Amino acid sequence: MQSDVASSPTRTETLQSLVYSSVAVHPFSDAELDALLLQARSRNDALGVTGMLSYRNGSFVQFLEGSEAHLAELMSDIEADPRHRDIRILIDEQISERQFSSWTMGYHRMRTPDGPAPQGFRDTFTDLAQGADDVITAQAARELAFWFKVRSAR
Amino acid sequence: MSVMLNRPAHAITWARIEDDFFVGSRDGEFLGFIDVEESGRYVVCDQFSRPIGQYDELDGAMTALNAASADALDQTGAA
Repeated sequence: MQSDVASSPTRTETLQSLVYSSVAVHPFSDAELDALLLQARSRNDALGVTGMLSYRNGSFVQFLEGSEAHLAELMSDIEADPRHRDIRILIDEQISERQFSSWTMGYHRMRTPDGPAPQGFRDTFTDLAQGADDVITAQAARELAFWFKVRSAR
Repeated sequence: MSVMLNRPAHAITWARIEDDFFVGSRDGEFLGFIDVEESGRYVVCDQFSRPIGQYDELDGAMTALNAASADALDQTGAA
């Protein structure tokens, strides 16, 4: 769902970006993902939070942007959600502007690859879902956000 | 400082996001992406989604993006 939430937080608040990965307690169906997105969008809209969710083969990677207080409140709820486990914070940093200002929770269906990445290629989602060093994690996060925006523009 | 001397230390890194979507980066900056159409053609675009060309093989698409970014590096000092 696209929305204009970029008005919050106010100019005096610090804008924070948080990226985490987690593992679904069971593989999610499209209907379960739709329900999760509906819930997330409603909650994020109320909190002035924007972001993007990606899901592949039982793993989630989620981007969240908003005020530090609202993200802390949100993460508290997310950590208590029984639908996933093994939550790992990949990136938690201040930002000057939102990457996903038009999305309360953007989503574009991601297909599971048929096989390993071509020789010489990293697999972006694997880097995020299974862990990599800070430099690769930051790069992979940018790649996933880039993919989402290219796909969403079509 | 010579651009040629800089190149080996600034090689393109490649990543797959989906089986039909690849990105190339240098020093953390996107150079562009390769998107595989339903026809099987590899479509190369720069970081602003401007088309560079279409190729039959992934290797050809990678070479094209590499060449386009090298041209940009030569012209501006930055891809």
